[in-house]
Amino acid sequence: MRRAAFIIVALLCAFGGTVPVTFAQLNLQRADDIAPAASASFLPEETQLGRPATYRVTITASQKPLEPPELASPAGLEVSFAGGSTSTAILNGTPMLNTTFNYNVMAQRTGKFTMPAFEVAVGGGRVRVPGAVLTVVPADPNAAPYQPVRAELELPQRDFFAGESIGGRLLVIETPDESPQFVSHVAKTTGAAVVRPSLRTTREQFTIGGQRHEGLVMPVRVTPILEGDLDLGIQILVSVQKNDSPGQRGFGRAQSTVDAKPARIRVLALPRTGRLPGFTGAIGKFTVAQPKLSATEIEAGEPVTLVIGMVGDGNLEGVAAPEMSTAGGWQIYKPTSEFQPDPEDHNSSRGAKVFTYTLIPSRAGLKATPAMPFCYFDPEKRAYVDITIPPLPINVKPSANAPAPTEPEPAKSETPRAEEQPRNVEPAMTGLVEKPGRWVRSPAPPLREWWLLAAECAPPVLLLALWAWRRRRDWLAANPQIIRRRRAHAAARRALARARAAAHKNDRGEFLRASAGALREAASPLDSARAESLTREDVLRLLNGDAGATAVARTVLDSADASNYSPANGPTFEPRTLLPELERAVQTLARRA
Amino acid sequence: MKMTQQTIEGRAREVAAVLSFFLVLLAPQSRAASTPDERFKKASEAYAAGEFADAVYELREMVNEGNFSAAAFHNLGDAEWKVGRHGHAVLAWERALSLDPFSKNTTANLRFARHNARVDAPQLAWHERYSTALPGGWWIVIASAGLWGGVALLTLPRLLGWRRADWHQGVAAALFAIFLLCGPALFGTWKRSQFGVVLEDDVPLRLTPTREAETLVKVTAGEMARVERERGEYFYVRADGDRAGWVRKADFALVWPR
Repeated sequence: MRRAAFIIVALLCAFGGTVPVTFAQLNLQRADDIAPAASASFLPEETQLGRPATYRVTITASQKPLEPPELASPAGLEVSFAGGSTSTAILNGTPMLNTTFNYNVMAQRTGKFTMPAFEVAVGGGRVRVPGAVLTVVPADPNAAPYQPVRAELELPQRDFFAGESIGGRLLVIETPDESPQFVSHVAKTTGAAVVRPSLRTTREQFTIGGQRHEGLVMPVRVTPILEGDLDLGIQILVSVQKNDSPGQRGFGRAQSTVDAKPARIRVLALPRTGRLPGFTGAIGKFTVAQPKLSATEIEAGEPVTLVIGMVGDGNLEGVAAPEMSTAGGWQIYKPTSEFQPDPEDHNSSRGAKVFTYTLIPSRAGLKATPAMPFCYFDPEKRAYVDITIPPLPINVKPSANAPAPTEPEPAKSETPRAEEQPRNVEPAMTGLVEKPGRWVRSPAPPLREWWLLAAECAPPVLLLALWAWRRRRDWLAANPQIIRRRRAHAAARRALARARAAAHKNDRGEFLRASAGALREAASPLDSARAESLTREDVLRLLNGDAGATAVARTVLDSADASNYSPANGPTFEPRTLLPELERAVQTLARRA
Repeated sequence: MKMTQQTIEGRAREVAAVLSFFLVLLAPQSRAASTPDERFKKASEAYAAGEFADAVYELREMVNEGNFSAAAFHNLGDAEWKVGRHGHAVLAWERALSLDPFSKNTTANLRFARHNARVDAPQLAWHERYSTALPGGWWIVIASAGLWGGVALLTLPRLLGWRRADWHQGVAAALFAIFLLCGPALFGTWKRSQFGVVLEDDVPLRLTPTREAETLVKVTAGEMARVERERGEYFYVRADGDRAGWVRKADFALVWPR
């Protein structure tokens, strides 16, 4: 009994001691009781000038993912975000996140740099991230400068053709200070080409410029689009591991953006000469397997499938199916194609493509499928290679439902004629022209010459002038008094001029004749009679109201009559004294007309 | 006496200076005095003697002086081809053909040049092909005659008081039809004025009109392209296959110079 009590007491003691320890080990606290915490440090805490360091911030026990905090870096210290990582732990069934943010740090001078403490929002509260100190000492003069990882695009050394699929390698080179771990993103920066990186990356040793290197190798496929000199630039996002000292692996990891040295290639256009029929864009080296027919004996109207397999190295994925001639009694549907990449490397240019044609014979008696011209361009030989699909023997029988009449075979001639090749005449240059011909001022048509514009304007101007002339003529014909008035005015002016001349010569007789004529001509539009028919009274009547003009007209007309009928009783007045009044009388009559 | 001697010497120097001046003035005139016909003949003789460079020199000088003829351009094209300037040869033949589109020899030479230089003839729109049937100047004359002849036939009888006749309207309708038929040809002629020829081999078409701009594609001597824009020393051209870019004016020449 005592023994049993001892065992019970011993067991209780054992349990009493181990259970709390076990619970303490399991950390079976409530998740809500665990407060988030943060820490910060430089790795390493002391570094040489010119060598990078890592500033690491770790925040534990957050329940949600965190955004990287923005840092207020001290002067003389370059800080850039270099990625982060998150791990999950389950506490009492509640997932808790531990987040680490890495920053690349590069000092511009020696000394001590203190990253100040700051606060981070975690959940509903704020967590204080303590400060950290980095000591930067002068660089070792014997040590090599810091070398980040670099990248190069390795392509074959030859000229390429537009549309060709070029296999190359993207080499991410390890340095004593950084070791590439994996490539997370590849992007083309310059060059008219399509770049397709492989999903698989291997760590290999390779030689660049006679020197052996180690690093990551990523196969890439490059397809230039345009001809010309092409500078192909590639940028990668690579995760690197930073060494503590040259050659000694450390634990710092960061993401780096690396620009590969641009690869210069020369891209040529596919030659136009020597292009064979049936070229559908295939560039590389290909072989065509024996075409297969789904049946060798069918009825007219019954579909048959023709399968053509093409294997090789090149831009097989983008090659279009060759066209088959519809002549010869076959109805051909649009073919389908299927590309199968190399199973060992999906990114290689090797592969197979299968074209499937569906053909329907429209009549019985057909003995073969139509030939199909097909070729590809070999970039190494720089020539087109003929891979025409030959006709395949097949027997097309009349349809059981609707027998189709067989095509009568052409009568066989005794002497078969060789098929004539179409004549292909090479163009040739002709000789000189012996005579110079007509010389002109410009080889261009006179589209922009000023004289052309002038010549084009001449006909409408001429027609407008003609139209205006016609209008005036019609108007004058409709208004004859205007012509009469103008003629009378002109005659009056002429007679008045004669009168002035006679006055200057003091020729009284001529002065009287001219003056009387001027008065009659000026008065004629006011009367229906002609000028020479107007009497003395007619003129005086028309001058009615103007005493001075009437007086001088009376004097002139009376003197003229007297001079006409009795020359002995010549006028006694001085012509020059009468001239101003006479001119006024003529003007008065002209105005009234 | 001494003064007199000095005066005579001075006069002699003046006379010599005046004579030299006139000799200098007359020298280029006497060289330029050779007529275009004489230059043409001289170039033909040089070509026949195998002196192709001399033939090119004579013909180019003649053209630079503003003397153009279809025959001169044809022969210039032949000589340029012989000295290996294929782009210039195509340019000369294109100009010859624009002056004389009926010339079978020039057409054959252009075909020969494009076959050897492995370039295609330019892709012309239908109205551009239509306009090549006659020289550009002819279309203008025919269109003008058609339009104004028709207008005159409709208006002149009325203006001049002639007796109207049915044939007036018939001929006027025919002339208007001729004018309308000339419309597409005139448009095509205008569009063809944008064509030019690449003069040198491997001429880069650049992304921007600058010397250091990225090369988009290169074009071959003798290729024809359409000028779409002009900026400084560069044309923006578009060749067949939608290849477009800026090209230096020194490497490109319009068939119909502006």
